[in-house]
Amino acid sequence: MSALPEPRSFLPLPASEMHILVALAQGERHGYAIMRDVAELSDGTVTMGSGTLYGSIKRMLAKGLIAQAAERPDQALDDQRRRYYRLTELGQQVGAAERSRLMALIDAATARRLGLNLDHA
Amino acid sequence: MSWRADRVVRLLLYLYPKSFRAEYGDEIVQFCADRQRHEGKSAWRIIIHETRDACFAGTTMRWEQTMTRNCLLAGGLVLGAVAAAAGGPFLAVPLGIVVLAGSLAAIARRSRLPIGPASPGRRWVSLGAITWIPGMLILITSDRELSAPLWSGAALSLVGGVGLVAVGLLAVIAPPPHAE
Repeated sequence: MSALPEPRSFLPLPASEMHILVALAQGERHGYAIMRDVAELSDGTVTMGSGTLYGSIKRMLAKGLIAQAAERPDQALDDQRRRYYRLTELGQQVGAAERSRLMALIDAATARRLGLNLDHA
Repeated sequence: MSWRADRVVRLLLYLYPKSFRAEYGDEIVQFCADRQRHEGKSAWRIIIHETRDACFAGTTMRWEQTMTRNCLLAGGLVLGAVAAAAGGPFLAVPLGIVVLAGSLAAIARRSRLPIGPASPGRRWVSLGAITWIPGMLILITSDRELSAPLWSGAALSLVGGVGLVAVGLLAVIAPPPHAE
């Protein structure tokens, strides 16, 4: 079995890919469900169009961050055109590495009081 | 989604590269139908949003597909050759150095610029070797001082050839970590 690539070599992750990783952290989703989840998570500020979404999905499949789910949750209720995607082990690791990177950035911003003086302006 | 809106969405798919269209076309049509069904917006509002996204994403995909690392290098080499032919040796040497520096920069940042799937490294090693031939021939066959055009041609051929061989060899020995 070949070893997984170093997760940090994928950083920084494009924002759209991190959003997709976060959406898939809750389980398998099809394209539209991912988009809806991303919109909810970002309070409506990020609305992915199909090109951005499936372009990111294609790149993430190539990198091995996500995979197509083998089984569909309910074949009877579902349209054949829908494909479901899930996180891979590498996707989990890269997501964790990106989360740490973003948290370190936020810590640095807080330490330097970025934007904290605005309330008193 | 009405058949008209469905038709427009299918037409929008032509903004994407053919391979992407074949792989995700049906899913994108389904995606738009889902949007209309769940978001309660008119089909045309969704189409306007999708058109904007398809223009941006489609252009980006085509650019990424065309502008591979090796394409950029080959383009730089051709541009350098034309400029050197027009400008003489004083332009050829700096241009040769620029091509070499560009090659080294591409090596250093190889995870950012993909190698085209149809352009394996071996092909670029061969191209680099072929690029070397005119330079070597000029040096071997000239028995006296080189004229300005020959000098610039030889310099560009030799320096550019080194860059192409280096990038090609690297692609063969150590492919980019995220290459397909």
